[in-house]
Amino acid sequence: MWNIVRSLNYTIKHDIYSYIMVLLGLIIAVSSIVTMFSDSGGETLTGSLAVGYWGTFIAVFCFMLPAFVTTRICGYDFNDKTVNYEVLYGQKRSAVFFSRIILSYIYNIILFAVIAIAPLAVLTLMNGWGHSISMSEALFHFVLSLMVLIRYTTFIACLTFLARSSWIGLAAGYLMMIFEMLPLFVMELMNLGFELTWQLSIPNAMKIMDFSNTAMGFVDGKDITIYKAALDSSVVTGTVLAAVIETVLLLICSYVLFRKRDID
Amino acid sequence: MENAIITVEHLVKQFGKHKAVDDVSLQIRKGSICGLIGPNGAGKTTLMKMLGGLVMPDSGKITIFGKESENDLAHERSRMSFIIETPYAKQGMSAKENLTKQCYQKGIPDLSRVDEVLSIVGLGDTGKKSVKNFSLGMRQRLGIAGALLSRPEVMVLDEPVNGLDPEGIVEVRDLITKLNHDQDITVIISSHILAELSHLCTDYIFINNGQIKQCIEAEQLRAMCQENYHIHTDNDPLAVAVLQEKLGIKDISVDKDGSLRIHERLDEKRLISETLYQNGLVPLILEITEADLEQYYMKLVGENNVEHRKISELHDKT
Repeated sequence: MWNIVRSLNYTIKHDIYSYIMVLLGLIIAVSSIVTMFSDSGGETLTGSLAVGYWGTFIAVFCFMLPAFVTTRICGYDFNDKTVNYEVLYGQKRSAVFFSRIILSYIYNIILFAVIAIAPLAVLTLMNGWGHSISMSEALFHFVLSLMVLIRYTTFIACLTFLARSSWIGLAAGYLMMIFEMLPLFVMELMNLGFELTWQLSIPNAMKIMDFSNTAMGFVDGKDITIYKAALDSSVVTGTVLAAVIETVLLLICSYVLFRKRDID
Repeated sequence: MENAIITVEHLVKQFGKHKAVDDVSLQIRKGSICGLIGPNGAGKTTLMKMLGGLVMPDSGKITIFGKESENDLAHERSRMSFIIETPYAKQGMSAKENLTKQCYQKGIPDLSRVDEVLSIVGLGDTGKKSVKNFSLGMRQRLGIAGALLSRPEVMVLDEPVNGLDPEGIVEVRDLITKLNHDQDITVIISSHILAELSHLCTDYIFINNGQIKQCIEAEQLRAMCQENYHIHTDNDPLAVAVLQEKLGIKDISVDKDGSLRIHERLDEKRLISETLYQNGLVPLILEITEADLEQYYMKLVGENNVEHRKISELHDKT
């Protein structure tokens, strides 16, 4: 399996698409810092304050780019028979499957770190962490987001493997995003009184990174925004269980199908 | 067969209603160059894909180097190399980058092997040129270079000379022969260019409609491609009728151009030619020849139905 991971890494390093994604990630990170500075008004833009500004954006945007990355890693190699030849070289199908899943996780976590965490790290270095939210609580929110990202990555990866096409995987992934966000708008519009939390990936991420509940505090002689971001235990439990169960089930079902199907 | 390294027993593969491989059993001898011959859709590529693990058989057994289980077969395939349908290459990478990637995929630690195989196939001077700018011949040679990386004991090549010019065909043929002689690599090769296989193979497997028609060694085939009496008259259909009715000759085949080949009673050439003449037929060609691989193949695999139909059509015309 690690032979395939090494060879995939080698291809990624020689693929211009990879550098485009890195550039895009950096552009997003830098422009987000600039945007946050202009939106902060008179308040010093600390790392903790930026978590709130950045929260919902992370929830959505951190899923769009990983879809590209995942479908590229899991689907593109069906086009030019790379997957075929890995099997012909004597690699087990489990190695062919799980190497790509693992690499998708690794690259998406790196992308998440670049887009979501790097801007906060820069602001913390410049202006300190601040008091808007504790670092441990912010970290907790990010870890939960990562779990949702893993869940979503697994879904896209498995879909791409089954479709054997990066384009179908990408199209289905984006359609899924729209499908998942639609109930949120409908519920808000119709004021149904029921809230989607952990049931679907995107609303789950948006719930975790929702810092709209704020209060004003006075610390060190300054007015600061304080985020009331404590999550309900049902949301936390639901997020973790949904992530674990969906990830495991999807992996098992997809691998079983991949193992049995002919590769033509 | 004692020195069989690949054994296939009662292999079946069906796609929908179509049986691509129908109860195929065969053995491949160590050190042989085995030609897999059959028309389009005969089941050659499907059979190779099943050997390679890409296609799962519906039933039957494959044994490679004495191993049968799926896990063991995956391991044994690392001792083999395959080129199936198209050679593998990433279009945006150079030849060297492609082979370096394949070294990683195959777990080959010594990357100097890349330069070695590139020089064997004559692609050592391609530099940073992308594979997308390679000619078809260069891509085929790159595919063979990739197949050589892991120093395989068996190479399975699906029509490796397809689309090559005559010079390219000779290069690939000579390379395969050299690898077989110098490194004792067993080769399984499928091709439509039967004339080229006849210069290359030590064994032949004829396949049609998913079924093995014959497995035969080259020496035996040469004996089978026996002498025949090639006849062409001004009325070949009538000649068939005369030969069958007057002389009781049954073993007659019909070439594409309508001329006849008699495979029996070759010591009675005089009687045959006299009989034709006495029945008003003018012989245009009367010669003793030997059948080549293509004629043997057409008789055995490709054109049996057409031949029988043609003879009946010839009867109708007379």
